[in-house]
Amino acid sequence: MEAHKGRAVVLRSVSKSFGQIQAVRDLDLEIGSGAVYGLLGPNGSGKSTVMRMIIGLVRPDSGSIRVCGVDAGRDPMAVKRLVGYVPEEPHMYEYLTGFEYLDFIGDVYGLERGAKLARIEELLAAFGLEGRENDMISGYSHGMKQKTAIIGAILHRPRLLVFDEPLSGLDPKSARIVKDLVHRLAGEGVTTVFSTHVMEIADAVCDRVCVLFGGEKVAEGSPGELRELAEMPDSTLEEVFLTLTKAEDVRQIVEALAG
Amino acid sequence: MRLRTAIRLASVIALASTRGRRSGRAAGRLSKYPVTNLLFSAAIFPLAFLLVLPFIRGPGGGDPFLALLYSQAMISLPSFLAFLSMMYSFMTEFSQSATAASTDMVNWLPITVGEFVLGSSLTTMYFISPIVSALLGASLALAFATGMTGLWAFSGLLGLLGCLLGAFSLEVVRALLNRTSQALSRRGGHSVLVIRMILSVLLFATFSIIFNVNFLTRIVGWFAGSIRGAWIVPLLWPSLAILSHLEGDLTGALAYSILSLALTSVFFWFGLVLRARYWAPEPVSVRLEPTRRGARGRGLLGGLGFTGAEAALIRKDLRSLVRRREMVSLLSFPVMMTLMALINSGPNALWDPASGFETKLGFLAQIGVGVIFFANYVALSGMGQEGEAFGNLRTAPLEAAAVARAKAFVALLPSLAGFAVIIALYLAFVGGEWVTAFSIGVVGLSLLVEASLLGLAVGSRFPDFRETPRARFFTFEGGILSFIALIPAALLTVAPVYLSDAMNLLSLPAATVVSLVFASAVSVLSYRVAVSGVERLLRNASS
Repeated sequence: MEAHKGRAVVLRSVSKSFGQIQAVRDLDLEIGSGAVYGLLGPNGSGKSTVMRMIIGLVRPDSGSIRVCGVDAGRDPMAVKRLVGYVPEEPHMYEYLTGFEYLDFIGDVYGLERGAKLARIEELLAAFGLEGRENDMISGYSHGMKQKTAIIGAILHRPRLLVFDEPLSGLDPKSARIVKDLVHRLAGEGVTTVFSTHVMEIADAVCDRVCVLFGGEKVAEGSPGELRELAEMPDSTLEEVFLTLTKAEDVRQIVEALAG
Repeated sequence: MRLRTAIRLASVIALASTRGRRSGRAAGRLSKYPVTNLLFSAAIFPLAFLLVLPFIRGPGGGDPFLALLYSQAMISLPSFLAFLSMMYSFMTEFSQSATAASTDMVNWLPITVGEFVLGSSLTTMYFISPIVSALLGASLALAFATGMTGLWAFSGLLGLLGCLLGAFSLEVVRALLNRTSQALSRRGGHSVLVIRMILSVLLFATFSIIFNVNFLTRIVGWFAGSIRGAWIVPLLWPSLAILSHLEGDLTGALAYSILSLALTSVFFWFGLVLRARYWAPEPVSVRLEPTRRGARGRGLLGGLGFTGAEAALIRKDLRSLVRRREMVSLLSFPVMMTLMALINSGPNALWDPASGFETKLGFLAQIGVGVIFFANYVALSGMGQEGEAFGNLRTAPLEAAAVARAKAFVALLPSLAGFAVIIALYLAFVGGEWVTAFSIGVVGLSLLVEASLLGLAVGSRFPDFRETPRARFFTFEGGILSFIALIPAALLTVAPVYLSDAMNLLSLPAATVVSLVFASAVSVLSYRVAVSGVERLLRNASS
């Protein structure tokens, strides 16, 4: 336990394959407590698999994962209590209303009733869902579902937040709320791991980022450190990312498509 | 209407359904090709013919009894196929989620209402084609044996018309349900959801009954006295055409055939008109009254010993049961069994002083079978009905035993309500000794617990989480296994009590204890299997 002090997530030599496909290859990661850590990478680079392994949804073939000092393989239940997770495509119980869904989530995490209701109301108001909480989720837009899923993930005040593309489908105001919330929670010691394809967001939000490519870590550091690593100090993070993932020359593709 | 588009649409719907199956076995992989079903149907026809052939004495119609039985069967064939087609299309419709139906590509592609209705009906024909083929193959062998090949051809043709009739009826129901949902959605409120579910269940049960051959002939018996009066029931027109043919009345056969064709066309036209008028491709969203947010205390579920998380799961699943239209077929089961009991035994069997103890008990037993199957099916569906939202449970700090307890209780609670009604009817109308009543109560309750836990055990091992193109909740293998396990378990539970009465081997109290012990053993074993199954699912054994 002591060895992990100050580190919310530690991955040691983690590998995972699905049949013939090697999703993650011998990955080592250390994420400090209170950090906002971005996982970047093209489609199929292993970001979602890494996140799902951290929260115990997918078991690694080899290696070890510790979350806030807890071995995810040995005590997945303890890890679940510590973590809040928003998947890329939130699947919810569409026959429940937004309020009923959040009430259910709160009960499952064992929240005290008064505190749970106060928190639900506070978060519904913050995300602009007030007045729609009694509508069935089947009638929600993608963005509203995403907001409900985010509220569900932070309802029990987790110590680690795992967000898979958290801002997709959100309107600018809600996206801003999520960004500010992540920073405020970081100040309280809550660690956030999130994946995104939008480099401006990673640049603006993340303390550190890890670039994954083909299931392997190709670079890690602060956005500034990555620019230096790629010897592109004046470039945007997007340009650095495209260089690191060997996808920089998109001009030919665009020309071919336009032609 | 473009026939080519309708056929193309039918093939795509069939493709989506067959490819949706999850199977690693070679046979499973093969079944993912839509043409496999057609080849299978084509092969099953001669196979059924050859299988039946050795059991009959030889051609020429030498056996008058067989000829009589055969003509009766062929008279019922069109109605039976209409029922089969209707049931299949209804089950498919009700297992499709409202959201999936609303986002269906047919809503935004340039496909006319007629093309859609025909395409959807052809898909139903495609899926039931193996059964139709088997029936026609087997009956052809009998036709050779009885020398009634003409009857076979005529009845077969009308049978195919019956299939279409059953499939077209779905469009009528689909549009009516959509219209009802829209009207109710505008009103909002919790009661709306319950009303919508009750209406759907009643509609499903009603259509299942009115397409039932047994019911139709009883109606004729009640109102007309003889089959000659059956012209008042349009669904029996194909049967009357066959009857007229058998009696050599060619004018009658022709008239009823034309009427049957007209009836099918009317159903098709009605389906078109109603769909064009009432179908609205919007997600059915209902605004409810705010959920009670005051102090809840431990509540009823807490008082029963459930933890907060278990109680939350139970509340969620009970809402699922009354709100999701995929649940309509499950809820319809006891209603249909009750209606069938009423039809089979006559509407006043229970309170008619002339009815004996056995008749009354038989009447209640039929309803009891519906309730037991309901409990079993709800439990069997318990894990799979989580669908893609199962991730919510996997990421939550929930123990497998807690999930299993909650799921079992969700199956038991509404079944207990049905069981209580049966007991109340027994006490009010059957009477008898209190020992008998007590024994029936104990055995019935044991059966319900046993059926629920057996269903959960199988459902936790064979869940189907997919929701598109339609929700299944449990795999085909799981459905078969659950049925195979439930029947002997239920029979062995009832056997001691039944035998104590029939053979006087044991006293009734002793037989009740034996039943209870057996049911408890099955229940405990099933519960353990269920917990380990849920644990495996929560741990994501597939990764």
